[in-house]
Amino acid sequence: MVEPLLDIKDLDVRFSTSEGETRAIRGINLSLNPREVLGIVGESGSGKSVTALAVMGLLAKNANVTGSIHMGDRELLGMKDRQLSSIRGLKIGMIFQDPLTSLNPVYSVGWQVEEAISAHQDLSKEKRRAEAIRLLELVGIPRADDRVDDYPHEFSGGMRQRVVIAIAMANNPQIILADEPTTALDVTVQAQVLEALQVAIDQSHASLVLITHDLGVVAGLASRVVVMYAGRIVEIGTADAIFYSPAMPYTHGLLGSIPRVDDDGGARLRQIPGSPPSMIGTQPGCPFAPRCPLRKDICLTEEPALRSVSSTTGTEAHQAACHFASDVVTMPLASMFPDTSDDHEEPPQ
Amino acid sequence: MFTYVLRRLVQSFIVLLIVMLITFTLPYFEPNGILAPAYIVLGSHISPHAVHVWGVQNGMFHPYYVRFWNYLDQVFIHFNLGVSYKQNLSVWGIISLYVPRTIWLALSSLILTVVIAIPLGIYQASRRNSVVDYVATGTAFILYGIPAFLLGILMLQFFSFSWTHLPAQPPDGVAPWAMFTNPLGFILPVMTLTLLSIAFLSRFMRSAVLEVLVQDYVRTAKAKGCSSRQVLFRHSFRNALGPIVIILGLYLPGLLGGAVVIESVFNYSGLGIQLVTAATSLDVPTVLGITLLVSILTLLGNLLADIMLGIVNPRIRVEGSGR
Repeated sequence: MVEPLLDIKDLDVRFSTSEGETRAIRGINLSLNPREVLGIVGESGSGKSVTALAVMGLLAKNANVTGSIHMGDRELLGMKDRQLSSIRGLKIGMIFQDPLTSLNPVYSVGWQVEEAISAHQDLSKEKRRAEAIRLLELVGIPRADDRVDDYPHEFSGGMRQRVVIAIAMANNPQIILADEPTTALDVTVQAQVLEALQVAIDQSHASLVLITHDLGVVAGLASRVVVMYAGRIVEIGTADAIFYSPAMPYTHGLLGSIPRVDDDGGARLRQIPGSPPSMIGTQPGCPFAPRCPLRKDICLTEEPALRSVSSTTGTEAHQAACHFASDVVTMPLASMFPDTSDDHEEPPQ
Repeated sequence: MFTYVLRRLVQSFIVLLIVMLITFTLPYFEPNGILAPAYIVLGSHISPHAVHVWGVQNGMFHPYYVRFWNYLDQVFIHFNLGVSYKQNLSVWGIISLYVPRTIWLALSSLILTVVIAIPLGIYQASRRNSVVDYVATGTAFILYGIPAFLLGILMLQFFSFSWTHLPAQPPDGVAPWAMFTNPLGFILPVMTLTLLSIAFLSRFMRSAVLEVLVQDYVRTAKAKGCSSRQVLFRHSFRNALGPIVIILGLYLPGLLGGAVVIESVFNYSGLGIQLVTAATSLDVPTVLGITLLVSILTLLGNLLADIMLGIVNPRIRVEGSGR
């Protein structure tokens, strides 16, 4: 058993808002191994980004965080800002969702990469600049030595995201957190940015936490996948287990809502009915129960714990939070949710 | 950059002509039209004949457009602003006499304001909702709400009579250097003017920095490992400067005309008082001359602010300016 790089225990994040206390993260346990790519998927508001920001200590001031986040033998939670800034960028790099706003408009991109370097390394001016150009070249910016003095507004969205990736990998961190790195980008640019991300983790030998709602992105890169719903981890397993034998109805629903290239083109996407529960207050039972087609009485009263799935797939690390996980795992994919195409153009028999 | 400045200068000149046309036209709406000043210059009981003679002497019976053309010719070709109706001085003489006095008052308070208000605003934004922030905000609101003349009188009451005995009035004298004979006299008017503008500028600085602090790039800077000081000064300050530069640019003409109330409370004869006196005594050439000066400064202030903005923010840099 390898020592995990990052160990999150009983993480709980609450935000006090005017409407009451919002529990964004409800007791999650998660560990990240060296040199792995961990995908975190879930819909908006499921707590993916909040988890990453909690690790970085970048949550808003009204956040109340409990639990523990260990990196090596250091506890990151409750650390002073000054100590945290010696970890941010050096041990953990982060990539944000919107490349159009995540670079400072008044400094050149080279300056911003150099700043990331000089925050943790003592290099001469020339070496720093050379290093910045090298990093920009690595992430695939053409004519990097020419463009290093350009400003962010002179770059396209995809190019800017590469700059952000160069900043995140500047000090060869052990962990790179990528929070929806391709969401704001054109589909054609996404692949290039993912490639740059792959270069970044290869170069810095970092583990990558890839947060996204796009299962396609996860399928290409991740070795392990975490599915989050309503601030909880509802399923965790190898990418194969999650994609080929999901044990949680919500994961089924997510997979069923992806368009496939190998179907005949006539099948409609199956959607998950309803919407995620409110994050204010606590309802008893399974958070997914109101939307679940397999709902039984127990689902409404008792919240299922995250348990190993005793399954035919034989992967012991496959865990799911469902009372009927062992049944769900044997069900064929995408059969669980009703096909909603009935009320549309069904040809008359 | 050169063509941009040139284009802006041409635009400014057109605006200036329009301003001149308006100020030149307004005296026609006086009860006695443009002959009204005659009653003030010569006395209210003069005969209609004397008014007529005064009108002929001052070219009042030429058609409107001829008079405006002549005025433009006089100002732009001969650089002559005319002679004051009231004082036995050319308008240019009045301006050159009082401008240094007003600038001395306004510039020293402007410098103090910038030096105090900008750091104060940044500090308040970085310690938002702290005791210091609340106290500074409350004080700023009170100062912002007090009329300038009242603050001036209160300052006189407390610092010149009750608590200390600072001179209530700056040294007066026609010679420009007379103002240096008793520098203590400037403390109260400069302090009053400074307090008023700090109240205003620090609020702007605070909200500008607060607005920047929630931007995504500030979060990126923190994620890089920048210290909170670096985040504040490198990333927030520079971006917050934009609105401040514009405000300071707009403040430039206020340097001359804006201190009127303070000038009259502290009995300090500067350009502001001259303008008000000239307006009430229908001294049209003086009003036109000072208005022209203030307009030029307004336009220059705007132009300077725009150029500065380009330096502060590369996105606004004009095409062809090079890097």
